[in-house]
Amino acid sequence: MRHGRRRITWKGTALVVGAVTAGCALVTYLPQDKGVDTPFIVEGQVGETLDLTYAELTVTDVRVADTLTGFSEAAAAGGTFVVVDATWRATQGETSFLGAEITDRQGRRFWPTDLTGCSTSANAQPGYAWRTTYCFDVPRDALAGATVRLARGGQSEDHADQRRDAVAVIELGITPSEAETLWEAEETVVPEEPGYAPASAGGSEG
Amino acid sequence: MTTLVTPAVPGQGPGPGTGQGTPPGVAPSLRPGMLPGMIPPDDVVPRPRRSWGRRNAVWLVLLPIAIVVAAGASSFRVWAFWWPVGLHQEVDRVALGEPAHLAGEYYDMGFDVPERAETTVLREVDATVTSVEQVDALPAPSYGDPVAVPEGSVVYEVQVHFVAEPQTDLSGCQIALVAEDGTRYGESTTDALGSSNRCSTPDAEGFVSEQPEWDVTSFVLADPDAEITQVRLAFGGPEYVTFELP
Repeated sequence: MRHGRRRITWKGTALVVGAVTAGCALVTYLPQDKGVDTPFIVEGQVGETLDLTYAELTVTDVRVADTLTGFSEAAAAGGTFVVVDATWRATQGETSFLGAEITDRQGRRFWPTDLTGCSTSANAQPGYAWRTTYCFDVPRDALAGATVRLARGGQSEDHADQRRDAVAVIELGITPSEAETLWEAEETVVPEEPGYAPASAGGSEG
Repeated sequence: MTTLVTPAVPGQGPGPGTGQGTPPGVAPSLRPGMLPGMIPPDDVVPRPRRSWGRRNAVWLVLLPIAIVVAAGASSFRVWAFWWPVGLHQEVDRVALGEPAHLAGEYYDMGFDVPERAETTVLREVDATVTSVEQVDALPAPSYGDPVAVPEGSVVYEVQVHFVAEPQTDLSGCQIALVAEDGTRYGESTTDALGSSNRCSTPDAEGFVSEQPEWDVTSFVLADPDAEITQVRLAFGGPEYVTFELP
């Protein structure tokens, strides 16, 4: 007989505890994070035009410099500057390209500097190729085997803004022996200001 | 006959020597919901058990309301961040040479018209795209160096005729060409010549209209193989108008 007050039953308790336990187990053990976070990596080489769906990207040149000089300033590297020239050609609409970093063989990541006219991001529309120069200050042992990662998704520690989006990873093509030579050479580079790309910088698709 | 204190079990009552075999505070024979000393109702009539739906009718009514409230509360990003940025609402669609009416509200900062500062203003513009043609070169810009047509690009000249009340805010003007595959050329508020006041005449001093009618020419870079099918005009969105090309 009911008198308006419910009793706690073993059956109900087991139901609630079981449901909570099952939910925790699903969240903990299902590998859902990997599926949700992984970007679509498009790998390539210097000079190759990569299709990132939202843009065509070509890394046209990679240089190493001790010193960068610009319109009003000069910058000396703590290690050495890796200067990456790239052209972006947007394919859908006006797009900002915010992600740029170099990764070395040890997995260390180096973010770009905005010294002396170097860019840390780019913005372009369909209809033309836009030339951008990125500069990274890296230590000696980061040169050999390094890759550059460029994307529209923003630059952050966990690549949170690049989830489930196309990301370009390009081999810089620096071998260990070349790395020694590049490190010893004393080079000065004058980074170009961003602008329309000349035909020669358009990569394999012009 | 009733009494105020009725021991439910013999030996439960107060007094020395009672309570043997029964832990203190426990009344094993009490019915659910009864406390020691309560008067048991002597005329309890079992009522028919109501259905699950009747017993939970209040919650069943509240559930859809709660779902709507929860969805609305968690979708604030849609109207706060996504909807105001970008072109999402086509308010008019006409053919080339016909006037389209573009009306939309915006929040005026009062830069050009101080009386409108920090108010929501309805902007109404009648626009007619009179011509979209591919040209060979870009004209000299109003200021800055001449701009050469980049290799691998073609230039379209878009001419638009505007009718609007004087002092209509024209900032954030976008004149975009849409290709058959959906590519949007020139949707930036800055055109190929570097002008960031695309819906105003080149000699305009501010971002508000000065005449009741005027014409503008804007230049857009596009891919050589693009098949342009539409022109879109907007002031930052979300409203825009579409002009279909023949």
